[in-house]
Amino acid sequence: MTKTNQYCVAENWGKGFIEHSESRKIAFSGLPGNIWQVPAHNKDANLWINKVLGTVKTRDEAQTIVDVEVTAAQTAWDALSDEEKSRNPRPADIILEE
Amino acid sequence: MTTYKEVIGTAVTNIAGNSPTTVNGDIWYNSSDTTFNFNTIVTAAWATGGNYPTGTQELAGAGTQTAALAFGGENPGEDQTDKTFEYNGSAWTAGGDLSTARRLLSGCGTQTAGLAFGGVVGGSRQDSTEEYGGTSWTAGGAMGDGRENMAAAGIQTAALAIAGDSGPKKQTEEYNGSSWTSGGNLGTARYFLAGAGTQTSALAFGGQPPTNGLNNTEEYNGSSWTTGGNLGTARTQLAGCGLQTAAVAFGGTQGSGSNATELYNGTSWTASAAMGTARRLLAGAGIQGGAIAIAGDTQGTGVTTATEEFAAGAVTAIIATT
Repeated sequence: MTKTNQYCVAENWGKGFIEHSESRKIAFSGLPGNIWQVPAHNKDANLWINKVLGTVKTRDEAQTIVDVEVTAAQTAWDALSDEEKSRNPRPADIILEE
Repeated sequence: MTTYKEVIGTAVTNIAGNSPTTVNGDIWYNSSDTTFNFNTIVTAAWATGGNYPTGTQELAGAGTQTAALAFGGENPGEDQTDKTFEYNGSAWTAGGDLSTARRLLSGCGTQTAGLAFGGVVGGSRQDSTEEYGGTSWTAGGAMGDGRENMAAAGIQTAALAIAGDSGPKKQTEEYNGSSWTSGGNLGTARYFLAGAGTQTSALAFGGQPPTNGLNNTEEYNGSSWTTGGNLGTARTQLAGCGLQTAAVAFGGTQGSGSNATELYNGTSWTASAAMGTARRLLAGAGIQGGAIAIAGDTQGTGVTTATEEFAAGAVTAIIATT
């Protein structure tokens, strides 16, 4: 199956981490655990990963990192009072696509 | 001299005014001002801005993308904070503290004339108002009732508090710089909604119940609300800014933090560029062409410090005069 996305771990340092010019070329998706999803086989995405000193992860590795964070958020939600639960949707599972 | 038709194989369209199309690369001759025009389309995009000093959710915002104000909220160290921060387009610096630390509050106005109202302290809903003068907050008039999770519109001397929670509310209140009076009721009672516009030309959209979000929009004319176009993505705990005829909605949740952005033109919403960091319970400020998304909760890793700056798409006509 052709890979559509690639993943890396990078910490958003703020201004300049993603420029408008990069955002116009690349679809970014920030995920729990400082995981960033960008297009695979894409020169601009590769350049951006290099710029931010991102650590490339396979989809499965990235999924594991995301799952840990989401499970923790779900556990925290489960411990809320019924009133708080009624006002806040339970964090949903996030499934990463290859 | 070689003509355009000889090179391209077609003649330049002659239009008395601007091209009715927005196609990248379109060339036309404007017979009204005798200029050649060329469309260059720039797509909408978000970029990261300076990180908010502390990961915070349930805060409020005001101002513009290059002169923003954010205040209050909840962070890992404080159930409710009194902190205020000012943004200059690249970095946040500390401003004057709110007199009452609070979360789930609302705000509007500018960086030098901001307004904060409502919210929660502990479990107690607030009716108090505070006015920011660029360095410090002073007390304003109290709202008719204490509430949280409202939407806001307008400026410090002409603000609108929309709906909110003490049970989902329909009521609005109008502020004149010193006191609040009742405004028209929304059609749909809700909280965790977003707002945009002015006191006499406002917009309310999204929110809950249900907890997975509403998609409906309502427009205010200073006395009553009417139905507007539905959001493409129903959501709650979102942010918004801009004008009634040029608004932007971003973030929110349906269970997962949303990165969806939509633009309103006075009639309908269209999808636009997604934010890099999906989140809910964020603050928003600015205009449709230059919005700012401030902090919030990622619903996966907790609160975020991420700031993002939106640049709307544009059609630029490059003009060559004959």
